[in-house]
Amino acid sequence: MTDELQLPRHTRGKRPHFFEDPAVDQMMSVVLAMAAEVSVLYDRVDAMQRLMDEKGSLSRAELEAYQPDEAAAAERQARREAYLQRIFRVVRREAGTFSTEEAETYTAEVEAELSPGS
Amino acid sequence: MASAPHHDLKLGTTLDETARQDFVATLRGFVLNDMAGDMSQVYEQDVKPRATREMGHEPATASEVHKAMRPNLTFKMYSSMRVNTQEMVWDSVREAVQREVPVWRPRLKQAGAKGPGTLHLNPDLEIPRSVSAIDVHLLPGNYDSEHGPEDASQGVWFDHGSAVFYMGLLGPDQGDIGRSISTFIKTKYPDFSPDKILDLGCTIGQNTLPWAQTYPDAEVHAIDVGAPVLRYAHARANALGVGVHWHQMNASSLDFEDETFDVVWSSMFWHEVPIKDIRKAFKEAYRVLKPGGLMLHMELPPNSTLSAYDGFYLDWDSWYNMEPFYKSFRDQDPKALCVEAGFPADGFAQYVVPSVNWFGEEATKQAVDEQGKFDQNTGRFANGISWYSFGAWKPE
Ligand SMILES: C[S@@+](CC[C@H](N)C(=O)[O-])C[C@H]1O[C@@H](n2cnc3c(N)ncnc32)[C@H](O)[C@@H]1O
Repeated sequence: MTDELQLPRHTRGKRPHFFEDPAVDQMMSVVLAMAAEVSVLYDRVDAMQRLMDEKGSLSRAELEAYQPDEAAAAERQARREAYLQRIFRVVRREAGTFSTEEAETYTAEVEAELSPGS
Repeated sequence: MASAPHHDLKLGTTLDETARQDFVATLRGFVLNDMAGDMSQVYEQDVKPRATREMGHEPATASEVHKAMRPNLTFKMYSSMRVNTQEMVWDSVREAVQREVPVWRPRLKQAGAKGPGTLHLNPDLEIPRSVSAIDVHLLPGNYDSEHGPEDASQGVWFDHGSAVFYMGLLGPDQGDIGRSISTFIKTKYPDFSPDKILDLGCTIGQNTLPWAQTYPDAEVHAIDVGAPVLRYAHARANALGVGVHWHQMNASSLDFEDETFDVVWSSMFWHEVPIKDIRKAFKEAYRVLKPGGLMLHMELPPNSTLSAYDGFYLDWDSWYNMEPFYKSFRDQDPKALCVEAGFPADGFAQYVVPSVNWFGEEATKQAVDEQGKFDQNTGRFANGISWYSFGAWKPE
């Protein structure tokens, strides 16, 4: 038997927060952790498909030991990058926003319609 | 993608752990390239004009940019994602370290015992609070926590975490900084052939080994205050067949004799050290250097060489990444630090060195003829990086 090793899971001190409600900061952490798990699942499914294509069958041991070759690794990496662009599309909007007079007028009209005085 | 360490002390990782690490490395690339690009665009297009109107002048310092950015949504998203990514870097390897290290402890011991390097720990050394009391860049347990007798886990954790952290930017052994800069110095000063080299704050020796490889005839020593990182540095170097002498010592009070070394080197060290200790350590570096020797430090470029925005961008770590000494170091004048330590002003040198791993060795060698240019990629962990370094020659 070997000695158990327990590594700390958290850092000492306060976690920085950026949003008015600290719950939003925690939600960001959960969303990112979930995003990671989806990517992990995707890579696993991808490994299954590639092994099936190659061998026509699938064993757990082979799956767990799967190592992509260079071409497969590049495809999987491209998939991860495209995946991030998809899930964070809205986050990147700020920097790319441009407007037209019509779009601004439309927004103003909607806001006027909804404002309490109207 | 993450690039796992290449030596026989590599941890075994499961299919899912590897996928998680690859995700985190890719996410870091997204945050540091795409999100960082968005943030500077938003600054130019919205935040700067507004702040200029409100203050009556353009934000002139890193702090003024920081205050203006703080309420901005893109800043918040960037920052939140960066903090999370940093935590995820360490978390993505934690379970593997926990599972594997107890199993291969004997292997670690063996690698340590077989040489060619040597290890000198000092259990009586007082660990500075700047290391023992905080978790720098959010690694739980930092460089010095021990989880059992002769434990090296924090070193193993650091090695495998940094493979994720650097997204492959620093090459398979994470040694690009030491490799680029030692290659640059050897090319620029072909007649300078150091017999003895010292590395300060070496951690696990990622940027120590390249000096031993660039100058194979030199005797290389490296110091750090953390015992677990040194144990692992020693085993790792032996596993890679590179002989280095590792010592547990404080850079502010070295046990070496006067005039011992031809080169005193460090990489990414000073920004983690309180300024009063930096001053002492520079004096120590001067003392242990031979006449004609070179003190050289790779660091983040000082705020004075950067625009207010780029200063803000690098200062981010001092506010949000548990790097309490980072900004006070970057606000120093590097030349003044050297002169204060005893070096003559005309011995001061600084170099901007293109990364070997990114640009190739030829580009790094060619850079010796150019006057180092600072740009937004200097010292910034993203595509197209070049390294900032500064130091001074001790008079003959
Ligand atoms: C960011 S790491 C350096 C990284 C390393 N040089 C590299 O290039 O990979 C900072 C290191 O400095 C060490 N350290 C901090 N204060 C120190 C001191 N006063 N004397 C010696 N080492 C110190 C820490 O234990 C830690 O390992």
